[in-house]
Amino acid sequence: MTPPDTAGDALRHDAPLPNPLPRPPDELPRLERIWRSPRGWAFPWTEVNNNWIGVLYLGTAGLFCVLAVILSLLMRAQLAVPGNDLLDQETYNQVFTTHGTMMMFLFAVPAVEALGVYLLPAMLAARDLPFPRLSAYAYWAYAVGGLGFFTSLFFGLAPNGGWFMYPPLTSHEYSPGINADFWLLGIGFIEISAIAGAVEIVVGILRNRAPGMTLARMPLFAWAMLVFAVMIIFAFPAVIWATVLLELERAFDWPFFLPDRGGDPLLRQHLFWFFGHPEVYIIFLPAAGAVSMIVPAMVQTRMVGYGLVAMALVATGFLSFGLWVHHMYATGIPSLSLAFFSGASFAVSVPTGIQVFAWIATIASGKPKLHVPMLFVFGFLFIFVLGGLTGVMVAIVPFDWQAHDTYFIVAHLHYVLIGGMVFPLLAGLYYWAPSAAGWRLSVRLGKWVFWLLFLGVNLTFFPMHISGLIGMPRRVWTYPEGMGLEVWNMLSTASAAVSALGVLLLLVDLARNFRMSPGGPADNPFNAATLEWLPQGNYAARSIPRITSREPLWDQPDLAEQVRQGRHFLPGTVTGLRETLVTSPVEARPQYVAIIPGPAWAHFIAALCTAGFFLSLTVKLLWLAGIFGTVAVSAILYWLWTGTDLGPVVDRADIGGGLCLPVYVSGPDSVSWWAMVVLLLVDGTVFACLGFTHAFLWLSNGDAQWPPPGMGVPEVAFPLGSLALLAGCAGLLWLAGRLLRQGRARAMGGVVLLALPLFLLALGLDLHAVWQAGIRPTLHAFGAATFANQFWQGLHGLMVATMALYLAARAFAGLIDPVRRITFDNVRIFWLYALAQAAAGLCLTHLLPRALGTG
Amino acid sequence: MQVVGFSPMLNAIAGLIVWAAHFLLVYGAQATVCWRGLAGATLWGQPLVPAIVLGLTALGLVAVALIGGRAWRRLHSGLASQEGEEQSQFTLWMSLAVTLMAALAMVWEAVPVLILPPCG
Repeated sequence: MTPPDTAGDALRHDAPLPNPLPRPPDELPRLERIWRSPRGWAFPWTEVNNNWIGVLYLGTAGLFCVLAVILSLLMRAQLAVPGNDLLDQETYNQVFTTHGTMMMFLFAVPAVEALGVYLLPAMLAARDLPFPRLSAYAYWAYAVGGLGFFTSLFFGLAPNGGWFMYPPLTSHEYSPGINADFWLLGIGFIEISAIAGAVEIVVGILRNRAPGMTLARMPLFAWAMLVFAVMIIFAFPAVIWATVLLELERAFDWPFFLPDRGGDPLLRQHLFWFFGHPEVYIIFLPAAGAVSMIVPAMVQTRMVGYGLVAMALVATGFLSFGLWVHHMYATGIPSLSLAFFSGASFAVSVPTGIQVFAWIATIASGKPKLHVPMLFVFGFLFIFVLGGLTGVMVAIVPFDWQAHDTYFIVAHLHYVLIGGMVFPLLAGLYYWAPSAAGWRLSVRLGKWVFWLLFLGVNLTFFPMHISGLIGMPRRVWTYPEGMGLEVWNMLSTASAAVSALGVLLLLVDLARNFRMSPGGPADNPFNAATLEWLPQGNYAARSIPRITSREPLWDQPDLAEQVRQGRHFLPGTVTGLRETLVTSPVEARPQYVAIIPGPAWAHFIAALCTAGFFLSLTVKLLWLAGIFGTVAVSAILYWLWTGTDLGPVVDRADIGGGLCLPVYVSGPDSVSWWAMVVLLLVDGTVFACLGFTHAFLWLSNGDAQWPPPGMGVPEVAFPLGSLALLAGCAGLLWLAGRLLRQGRARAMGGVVLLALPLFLLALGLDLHAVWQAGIRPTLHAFGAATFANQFWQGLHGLMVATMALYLAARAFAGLIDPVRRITFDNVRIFWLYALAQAAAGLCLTHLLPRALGTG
Repeated sequence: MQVVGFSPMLNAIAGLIVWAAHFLLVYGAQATVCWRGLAGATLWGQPLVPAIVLGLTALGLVAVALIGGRAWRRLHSGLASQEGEEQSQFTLWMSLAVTLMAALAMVWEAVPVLILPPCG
């Protein structure tokens, strides 16, 4: 079922308001009842509303930040004087690794994702993001798993190989304990959380905007979050794959990174930094987006160069993927290769420069008021620009060779990350706190926090440029006397204490002045222009406004009052359930009213068990991991069965302005289809990393070793057999679709149950082919790469089996028919992808060695 | 199967997709040539690596010029409007701006091939 293209005159700026007064008396109480938070002991565990999850998420990220700051103070105390013995070498290794890992994975990415989850629905005037339980699941898995990860420090089990975990240091031989596994498996759930959040944010921004909020009118924060989420989709798969490979090597001795058996440690560096460099921009772009919202409000004028800034965000998103080798200048890669990356590193400074000049021009064209958020924006500009300039310095290859692995780099990255992310986040905290709490944080304390942090951060990290140039290396627990390092280190340590005081005051301010009160006093203390400052409840705005400009609160007088009275779209609920408006991606024309799920336990249990699964794997309690994994999957299936694909609960929904929309849409216009496609982009990127692994190891080994002597390439009959089975499976899926269109849902379920064994047989046949050809994963990187493909395909076999059985069960239960068919569509898209991926995997195993090697 | 709004969004970023393809091909080709010990090889009498890099860059520039030119013509054809899913002024403008950025990045990345040894 596809939605009609309605909209028409109802979106014109001169059309009458969509809904007349007076509103029915029970409309608002009903809306409030449906969106009310769970009471008593079920709160907050079952709550899914973005206002609460967003703030919890942000608070948890803040907690991890404070913990990581404490670790940094320990390090600074150790380095205050030469030859100090406060922390021994091993403890220091664990402390700096945990500090970096937590700041990047447990603070920075979750914090900006949290800001998105909290702000986006209000800013886009959606009632909530399209998959609230997914956000809640991502949050709880992260919170529980992150705490588990942190406690490893108390048992001396924390990872100790640096936040990027390079082999061979982290290979089994040199890191035999489980410390490295805590990183590899402990960070697994963070990656899942980040991707879940990214799916939610991409679909939410493109499909849940207020009617009339075209791409050209979208707030710059939403642009930034869109680019951020798309970057996660393409960057995180690389770190997931790098993690999988290192864990496979450590657990099963598959030598991906061991040169004596054909592996190559640089493979890990390439994969890690293909994630790691974009990661910096993943953190920075949302912060930049926040600044682009705060500056216009502070100076009471429109953003200068809106289009250029949006373009800069998109261009940064792309170009930042061409920078990864600039973390590898010192690895012996040919200088021309380095020059490509140097060129891209210079290119990416252009869009960043565009944004900086746009902010300066905006500030110059208005009348800046020195509110606390504005102070933090100035601090951001100062610190971030300095970090950017040292970035240009280290983008120059010969300079980087001198500065590599010294405190100059430590200074550079902290200037970029603290300037580029922490200061904008604090600006955002002081700016948006009134939207959650109903009143501002303390102005007096805020100014103290700013000055303590601004001076503390600069005086901590600026001296590190100098100690780095003198030659002080990173990651070393102490340094000798008499090299001229004493004064700079003492200055850094003393100033770190000043910053810590700033953090402490911030916590005092939050404890004294921040209380959640959604639906509390409506206030717009800074006279900002965007929709998050409309009067809000748990359901966001009472009615969903029709937008005619980029600054609706400045250009549409009385908008706040009209929205509050319910005179815009969807002023109540049409189905008696939680719902939100779905709009078209470019022009934001209303398409349908989507029902979204409310509070529940299933996602919470699934999240706990997901975190439990990864943590038990880390400590090698396989039976416990098995139990957690089973419960997690069962909870997810229960959540899907009871909470999704409800079908057309009512025929049509009148949302006002003459617009009558469907409440259920399947196919390419449904948000569910979009989410599945976004997920497949993640999956496909992991598979591309698998292909890269094969190509890289082939190049590194040479033709004669691909395959190496003693391993053959299986007979061609095997892959042909597998292909035939895959084709048969695809044919049956086509038939299933046909049967469903004819209304024969149960027959469709039967056909699906026939197709499943064909798929599994195709995968099994290839495993057999590889094994009987003498290929073994432990003997050589060729075998390891081949079995990495088998591993990945097997994982998809397991997922497809689960989905197919679920689909068949729903079909037999009568929950699928030609209209209510999202479950079928999603399973089919995923399954077809898995078939194509299996065929591509056959090419990697059978075609590549034949075409390239001597086999 | 038509997805509403897909093609204007794709057009808006097409220039950068060309950049990404150019970047991966240039780096991949040069790395392969060097790892296979073909630093001194030639193509039609020209040194291999510069020939590949400059050839790919020329192709990339032509591609972004075509994309940018198309966006420019549509933008000035009078068909584009602020309200219109498939001909939105903003996505056309973005398409044009993005091609300029992509062209700049491609040129910056390719220029070193004129100065540096192919595999040194």
